[in-house]
Amino acid sequence: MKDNQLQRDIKMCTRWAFGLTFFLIILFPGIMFVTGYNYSLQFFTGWTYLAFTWLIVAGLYIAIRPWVEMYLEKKRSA
Amino acid sequence: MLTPSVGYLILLVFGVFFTSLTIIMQRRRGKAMTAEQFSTAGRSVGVGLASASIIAAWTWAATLMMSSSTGFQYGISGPYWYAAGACVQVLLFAIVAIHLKRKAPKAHTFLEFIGKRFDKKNHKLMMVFALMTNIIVTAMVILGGAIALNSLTGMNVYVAAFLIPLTFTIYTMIGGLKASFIADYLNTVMIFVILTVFATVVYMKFGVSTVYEGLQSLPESQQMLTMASIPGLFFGMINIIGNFGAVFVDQSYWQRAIASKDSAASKAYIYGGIAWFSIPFAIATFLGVSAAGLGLNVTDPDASAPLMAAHLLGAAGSILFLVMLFMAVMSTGAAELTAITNIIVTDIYRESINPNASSKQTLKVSRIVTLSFGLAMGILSILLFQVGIGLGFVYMAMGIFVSAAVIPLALGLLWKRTTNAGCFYGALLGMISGVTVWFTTAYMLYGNISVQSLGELHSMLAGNLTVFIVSGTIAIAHGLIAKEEFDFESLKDKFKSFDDDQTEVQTSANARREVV
Repeated sequence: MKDNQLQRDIKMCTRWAFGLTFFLIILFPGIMFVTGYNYSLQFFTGWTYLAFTWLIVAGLYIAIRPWVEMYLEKKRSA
Repeated sequence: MLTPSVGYLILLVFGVFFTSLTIIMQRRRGKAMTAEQFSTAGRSVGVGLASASIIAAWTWAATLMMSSSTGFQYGISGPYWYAAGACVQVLLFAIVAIHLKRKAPKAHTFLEFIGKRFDKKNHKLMMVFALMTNIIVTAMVILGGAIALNSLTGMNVYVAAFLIPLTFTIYTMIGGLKASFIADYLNTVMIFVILTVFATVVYMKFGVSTVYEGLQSLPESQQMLTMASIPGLFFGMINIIGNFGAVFVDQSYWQRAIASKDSAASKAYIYGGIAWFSIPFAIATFLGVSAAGLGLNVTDPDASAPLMAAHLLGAAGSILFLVMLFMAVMSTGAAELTAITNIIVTDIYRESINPNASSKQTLKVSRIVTLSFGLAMGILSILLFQVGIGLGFVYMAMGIFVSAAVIPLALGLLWKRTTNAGCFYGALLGMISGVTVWFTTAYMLYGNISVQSLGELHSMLAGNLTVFIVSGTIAIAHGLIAKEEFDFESLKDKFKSFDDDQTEVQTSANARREVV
């Protein structure tokens, strides 16, 4: 039972890990490199917004998730 | 400019804060600390805390300083390559982490697994690689922090190198891995908050278009605003290859898998990797690239981030930057320290010196090792600094020395046909040939062997590639030829908790008495 869950997790995380790696270091930079695209002001603005949003979302996730987990744990054991 | 007293004050405040926090948490928990708890945090850490802690361990002082330097030099491709090139290792680590969880749920270190999977010789070789990684990383992190403190506040660099490990050694010694997790969480959150402040100020004060126009008018504008930058790509390749060793051979990342719940082990690395991406990406875009765009007068690109911070917010900006940097140093330092302690206690003390040590004894030894290594690392960093080994050089060269273990290690865990000999000779010959090719390339291309020619991108890349190709080929080829099959199921009962040994020794003693 527990082993089945782990087996499924292995499949999922292998897919995600390889998928994200492929996207981050081959697909996206590859396209940008081959086309040699020069950032326009609009694209550059979008790029910085992306960096900013990513930062905020990641920060909120890291700050909140442990508390939620602690709360759920308490509720379950109570 | 800040004064040295600000530096001392920051060290004191954080040292005292985290130590008292650990003591209070211990009191509130109400249960006595055991050796198993000390080294695995009870194997009950959830996804959130584990991913925060992975981020903290992977956020070095270099992540904040060097990423901005690449942004300043290569433009927008620098931050991207820094972030992407160092986050894929953490993402891919999720795969080996969950395999360890399944195949050896009770292991304390990855070396313990290697010791049971292969023979003693292999165990020792991998231990050398692992300890080397931990010691180099710790020294690098402490030195990086000391140099930054010195350049920002004028604090004495030797005093700083000695005091920095002290701040995290004491709370780690008291609370073990769990204390390090709590500190990691607080540090990571603070780093995110401070980064958000910087990014917001850049928007409010200068706006995106000012930066954009500044970048366009630079003499090297050709590469500043495109991903198609050759130096950026080159840096990216070295970054990707070189960092594999720093993650896969470093016990502190395995430690986080070991401490997690079964269901959390793989997710924590995926989420942690994605979230970590935003740190160098944002800081290098907002401090490094913007510094270039605003035409800041930066003589040393490595110092572009603190200069930009001071440019944005004056003295307050410098203090914020310093706090952020120090938090990165502290949490990485604590992670490395628990890693070293675990290796020494599990793989040396419990393996060869005193296999039947009780939980209490083991705990005592763990604390002594933590304390003495914490103090020794300060001294070692000072020595390294005195010898004159540069930080950048060590950072780049580390991959060549430790990465040979990456493929054999991962194969040993993932592939049942990996052989003991293939793994051992792959790692050993991988390193030897890597160093040879590294030196030869430096000599052939630049006519001499010196720190400078060895540090060139081409020599580094050749050395790094050789290490991976040789170690991988030997490990895979021997596995294919030998046709051995290893039964992972046989491992499951071979790992024992530090705590229940005592009862076991007692029962075996009773059994003996009965026989007599």
